[in-house]
Amino acid sequence: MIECTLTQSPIFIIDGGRRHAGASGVSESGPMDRTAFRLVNQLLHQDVYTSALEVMGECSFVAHIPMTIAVSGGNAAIAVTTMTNNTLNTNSYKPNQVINIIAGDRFSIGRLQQGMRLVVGIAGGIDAPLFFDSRCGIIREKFGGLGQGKPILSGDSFAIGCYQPVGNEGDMPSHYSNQSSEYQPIISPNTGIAGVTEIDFVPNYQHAQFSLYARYLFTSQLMQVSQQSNRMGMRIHSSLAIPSIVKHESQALALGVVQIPPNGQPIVMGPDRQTHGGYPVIGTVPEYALDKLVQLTPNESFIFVPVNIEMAIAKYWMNLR
Amino acid sequence: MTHLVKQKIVAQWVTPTTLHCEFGELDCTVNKALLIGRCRLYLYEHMAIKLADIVPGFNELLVQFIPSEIDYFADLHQVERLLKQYVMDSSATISNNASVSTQGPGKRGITHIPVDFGMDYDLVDVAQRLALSRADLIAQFCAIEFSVILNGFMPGFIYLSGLPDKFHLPRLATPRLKVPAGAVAIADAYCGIYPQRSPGGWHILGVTEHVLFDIDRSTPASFVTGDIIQFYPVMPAVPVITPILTAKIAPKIRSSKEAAGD
Repeated sequence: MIECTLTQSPIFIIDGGRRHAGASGVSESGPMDRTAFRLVNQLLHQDVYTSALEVMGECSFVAHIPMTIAVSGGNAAIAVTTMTNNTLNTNSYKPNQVINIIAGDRFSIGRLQQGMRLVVGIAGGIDAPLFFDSRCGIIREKFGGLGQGKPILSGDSFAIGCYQPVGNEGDMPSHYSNQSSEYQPIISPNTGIAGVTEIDFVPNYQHAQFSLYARYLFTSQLMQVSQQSNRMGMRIHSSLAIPSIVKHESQALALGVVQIPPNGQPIVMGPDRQTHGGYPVIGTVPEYALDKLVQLTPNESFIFVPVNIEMAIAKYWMNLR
Repeated sequence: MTHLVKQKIVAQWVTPTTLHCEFGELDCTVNKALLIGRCRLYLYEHMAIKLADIVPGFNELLVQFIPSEIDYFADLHQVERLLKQYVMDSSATISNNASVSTQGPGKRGITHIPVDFGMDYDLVDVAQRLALSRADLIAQFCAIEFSVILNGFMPGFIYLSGLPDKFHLPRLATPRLKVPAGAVAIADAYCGIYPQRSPGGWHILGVTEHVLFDIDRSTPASFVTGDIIQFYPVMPAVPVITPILTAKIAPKIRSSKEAAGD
């Protein structure tokens, strides 16, 4: 049992997301930062879809059983407090590192110094019931997560899957196996002109129906992620509103579609998006770019860069490598 | 129906794992939705092992692949080929008649759903706007055979087609913050049922106790594309009580109902 003693914001149980759920009107769900989610599970030598935790702020836990974790995504201080010979010892760790925790240890994650969210991978994953092949929960859907779609809050306890210690690398010489203890993500944030982050998007859906002016405005101005963003959608602030078009019927929404509502402020739909939406869509932000977008703080500026689907596919697989 | 065959089904990759298949314009929503629903099952029959999900839309199918199974060029062409082949083969069997859905997903015939028209939300207002009496509106509404287009917007929310033109009303100017669970409502060309309490901007005609989505069932959503639904009016559920007790208990029941119904 792992006990969450204190957390600033809700902690979400995430995994690869629901399968074959869309026709029931059930959201796909899944991690916000898929690169970080994959990385923690790779660090822990387990299936890349093993359930993990998504953390957005300071939190601390007590481990009542031994466990192995790895943290990735943003940057924050990780501290593990152990009681040895009646004295408390605190060791600090960095993200992208495998951390072994013994029963009775407290571990805490500090304020995010970089990025907006962290993924805490746990060896063996989290033990929670599966719905549509997933342990994700969305509060409005009332199922999954800790039960009734609930995230983990202060005082909640949860069980973890079968504990498997990580670190036995067989007969591989230790200087090779040690390399795995500190990974660096392969694609670093690419910053374009004047240090502005570039977020790729693929023009599709109703892109051709938007006016030339709207398409120009979408790619030519600096934008910021709004504070009202959540797992359902990242609300984007653009100082010049993008003229929208009229669309009558709802349509099925892919991960990362960029909706332009009548107020002209784009919304990039996240993993917990509803299955269908009625606003016109100007394009989609591919997964690897979405991972960068969800880590941007509200005061960081970015620019949307159109890429064709071939380029997006190539970059997607480069990022997976 | 043959004009659909001439029109293209266009498949394109919209994300590195999602294929968007757009179906050309068609006059009749019922049959297009039916067709899209059956195309979805047909794709599952032929390439289920590669798929993570297929989300049906009003005019499209969103085919989500398992990343490790993708072969971009071959899959695009296979999906397009399968869809075109299915549309070609079935164009003869799906007619413009809404009630013809004896094969495919809508095998179950007509599902009759009880609706309590007693709690007055928008019923009187809608009756006034349509220049009908309250009883006529209920009678005419309950005579309609609706087809399920799809589940969308929230788990188990069904969009129903088959609403006659004269019932078409724009959405409420100000959406309600709380629509009760089971609300049977209309907006534009559609009728819908809210599976759980939520905000919403549709005109509520009545409330049903029919469960639309139950996560504990092996198939959580009650309806699939192509199912036929007809509503029938019921009296609000009041337990059978002897006349002597009625006077004492009835006010209690009424007050608890008011509290629950907001």
